Amino acid sequence: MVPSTPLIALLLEGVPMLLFSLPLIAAASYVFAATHHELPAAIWSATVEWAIWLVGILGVVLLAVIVFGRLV
Amino acid sequence: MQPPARRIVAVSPDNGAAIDLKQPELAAVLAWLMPGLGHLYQGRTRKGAISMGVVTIILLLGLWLGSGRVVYASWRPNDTRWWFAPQAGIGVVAIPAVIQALAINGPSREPFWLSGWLAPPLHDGQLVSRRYAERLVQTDAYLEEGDFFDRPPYRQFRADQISMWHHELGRFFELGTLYTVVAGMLNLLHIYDAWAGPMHPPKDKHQKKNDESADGEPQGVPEAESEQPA
Repeated sequence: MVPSTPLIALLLEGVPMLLFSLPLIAAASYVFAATHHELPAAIWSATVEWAIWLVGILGVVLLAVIVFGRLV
Repeated sequence: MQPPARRIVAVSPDNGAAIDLKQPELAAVLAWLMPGLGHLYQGRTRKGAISMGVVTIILLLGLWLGSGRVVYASWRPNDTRWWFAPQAGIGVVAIPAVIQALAINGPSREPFWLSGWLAPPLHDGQLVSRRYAERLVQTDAYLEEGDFFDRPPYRQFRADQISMWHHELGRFFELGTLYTVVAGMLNLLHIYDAWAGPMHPPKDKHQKKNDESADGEPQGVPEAESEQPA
């Protein structure tokens, strides 16, 4: 249980694990974009592009795991 | 006459503007100490502030999810904390974690900060100071007086604290670890960016083809390089 009020802990327990990946994907997208660009506008547009790529790649991996998990 | 000051400059891939990296080594160290600090030192204020916010939020989320217990340095047999290597990408947590680990394994047998912040978990048979044992019994709901035996001048722990942490935190121990590991690894990219400037993205294939077909030779190459010597 996380060190917070019982209500927050209860809410966190109910959050699907998949959703915990979203802040990481958002942060990684920004950092990947920021290491390739300098201007804020370029960084933000590249962040969106990276996020689409990451969600796509991780989504395909997840789908493969689910499909193979069902087959085996 | 004094020689001109040494300036190291990178080129922005967006508009070709020069980026003054000042002292790149110092910027890299600052970026390691605190995400974004190297960029702030270089005057890349906006990028530095956002970078600091993004990585720090992920790090704090990880520490919060893991009750502050997921970042620790341990190199004991059977309890080598390999995750600490990527977590050490952020100096502001890596340095205290190493200090805590060295102190608790040193002659004082207690962490430098008695709150146990970023200290490694106690293992079965570990000797700790009386003061730290009392502090743990008071603050950790999972620990009781009977978990420590008297071994003057120390007290000997007779349980496995890492198992207790896993039992208490459940999946949040792994989640907190993952968040702090990702934060540390992302900061490595910031360190690189502070040291060498932005990486140049590969040129778009269609753009390259258009450039080549325009006059038969690739464009974008500086004139000095494309000219043939007489």
